[in-house]
Amino acid sequence: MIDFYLPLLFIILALTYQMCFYLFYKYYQIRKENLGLNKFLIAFGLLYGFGFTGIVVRAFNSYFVNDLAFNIILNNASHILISIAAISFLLIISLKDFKSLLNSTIIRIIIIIAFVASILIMLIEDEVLKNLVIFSSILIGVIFMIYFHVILIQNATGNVKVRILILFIGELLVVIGIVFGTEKDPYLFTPEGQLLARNVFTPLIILGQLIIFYAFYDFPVFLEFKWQENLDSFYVIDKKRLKLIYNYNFRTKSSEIVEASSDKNVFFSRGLIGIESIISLITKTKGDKIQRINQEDQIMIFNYGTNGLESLIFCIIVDDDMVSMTFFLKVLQKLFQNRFKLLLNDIEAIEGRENIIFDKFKEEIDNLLIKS
Amino acid sequence: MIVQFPLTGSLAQWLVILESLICLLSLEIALIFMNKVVKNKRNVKRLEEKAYFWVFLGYSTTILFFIISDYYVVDSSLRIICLNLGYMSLAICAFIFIFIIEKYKIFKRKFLFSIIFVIYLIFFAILSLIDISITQILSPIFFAIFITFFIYYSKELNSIFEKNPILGNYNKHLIKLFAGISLLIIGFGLTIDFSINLFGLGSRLIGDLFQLLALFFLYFYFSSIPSFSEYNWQQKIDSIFIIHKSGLLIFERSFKPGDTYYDSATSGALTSLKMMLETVSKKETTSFIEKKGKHITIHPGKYIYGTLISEENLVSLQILLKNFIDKIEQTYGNVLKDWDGDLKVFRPIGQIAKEIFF
Repeated sequence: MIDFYLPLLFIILALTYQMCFYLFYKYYQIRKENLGLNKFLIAFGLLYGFGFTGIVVRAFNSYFVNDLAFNIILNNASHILISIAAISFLLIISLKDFKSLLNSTIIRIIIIIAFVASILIMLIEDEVLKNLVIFSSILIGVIFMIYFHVILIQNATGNVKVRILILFIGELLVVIGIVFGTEKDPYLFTPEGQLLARNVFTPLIILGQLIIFYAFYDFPVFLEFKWQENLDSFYVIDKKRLKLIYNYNFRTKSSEIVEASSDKNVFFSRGLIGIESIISLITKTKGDKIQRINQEDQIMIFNYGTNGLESLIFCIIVDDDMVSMTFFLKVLQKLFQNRFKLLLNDIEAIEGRENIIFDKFKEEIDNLLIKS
Repeated sequence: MIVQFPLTGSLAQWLVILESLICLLSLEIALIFMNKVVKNKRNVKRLEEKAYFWVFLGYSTTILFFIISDYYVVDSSLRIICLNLGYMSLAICAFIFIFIIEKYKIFKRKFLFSIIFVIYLIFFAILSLIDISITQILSPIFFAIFITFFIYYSKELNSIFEKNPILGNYNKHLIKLFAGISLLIIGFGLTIDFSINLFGLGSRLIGDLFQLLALFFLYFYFSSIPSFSEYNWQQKIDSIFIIHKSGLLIFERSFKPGDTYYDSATSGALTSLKMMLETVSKKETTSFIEKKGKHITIHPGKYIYGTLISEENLVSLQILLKNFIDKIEQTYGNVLKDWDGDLKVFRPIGQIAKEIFF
């Protein structure tokens, strides 16, 4: 009878490459936004891609290869793959984008340990010593992964937090499955027990992979930590009619009714357009639009309407200049345009009722803040 | 050459890997369609995506049964039972697929292919009880019914493309369908016992590769074609009315040139009708009225209700009407709550209607 362990190993490989492709694709989709923390998608993609391939090669070697020379080649290949997975993951999360999140000294120490352990595993010939190094590496790896995920969970908000928690559960299952299901280990199991453990723990790896896949599926864009605390307010201005048509305050979490004669309305409609004209005149850049205005303690970031709604100006006021804010403004703009596109095309029809109609946008902003 | 089951040897080891991947891929495609159904509840295309889910799930289950029967079952009578379970699951899922499609589209006569499939399933079950070892001979009949169904299905889709030039040319989709079905049938044929006995295990390897390729073609075909639910309703719809709960008509659109139902009494009459129906049912739900060739659907929202007059009572029309009401209430929620009777503000509803119904 054919051993069903082999098809299971190939299913693990198929799921691995699909997952890698998906993670790289997700990163590719948002790479232009320059959101550093999203590099963790690449880090996990490399970790899973090389890591699982190494594990499968090791398991295949352990159970199906009897030729001694080929055995050594595959064993070394699996070590190299697993080392590349761990080191590339650590190198990516040691980039400056993660500096505020992780202690770079700890990561550097772990990289050195991983590097030394990888070489030792290749050089040591004594099986007992070799296994000791392997299990020590696994132990350090697991402790570091727990530390890394706890930090991520502590700092993330909303949906991202839940997804990382699910990811962590999936990874734990995978590690348990790998330790007990892929290694022929005479110290842990009798031959019969080994067969049973293999058949129970290998499907556990697949289950863990599916949970990881679920955690990453449609993963929300990973914005900088504590970015929501820096949000002040959001404005939509109709340049053509010189009118502030929507205003949301992130501090009070409410849409504010904007009176036509209020200072805010005067500044954001006439004042802002006046500033734009003056700047254009001074810098001789007529046609170019203001992107941001920095004040002492606040920054105004601007974006402009698209797809027939060029007369709209979207503005967000924030306390701190974060890359995430520009991206968040783009998301708000897209949502506002999509939701009210048809009304905005015939805005004269709703003249005088903008406040009550656009007030509904508050729900979208609240939802977005919960999900991000 | 008579091949012995369960299959063994190094080639068999690679075959079981390949077939496991076919099983996994097919299951993943099924889950992709199911995910679309769950995520796009408001999209009319989900009606057919639900059907696509079943066809791929059925195929995945069948392959799983074939793997168990051909590689892991030693007892020959148990193997035949496993094979039959495989054929049976394929036939049941194919029946669900055809039944869902026929719910929204009539080919020749209502539920024609579903009825044929039920007859096939009954015949299959009876034959299983008489002699379980000969049910395999029914598989050509299964494929014959399925191909005939797809010929009609393709013909109808082609007519949608002809009526809607914006959709482009159907032939490029037809190539995918033709390639997918041909590869699937040839591939399937090469993996059955008769072919293995005739050509050896090599034929099974080629058959598996063909099936793997067929899955890609079929996935790209099903995910790129427009659905009947999206286009079939356009000829069936007569008029639509949106009425504020105070009884005032705020929007009316006739879809047939020169055919208008509206006069000053219409909205009053529709409001009375809705109130009467609510008195009978004691709650606000979607109501349907049928009158020789005309169907009236009334869907209540929070502040408004919509009435749609059509030639057929299609599920897709109900979804579109609900979407239309939801979109209006989402956009005008605060205006409708304390509406002062000014109709000018609702002028952009025409654009919303255009977006949903055209």
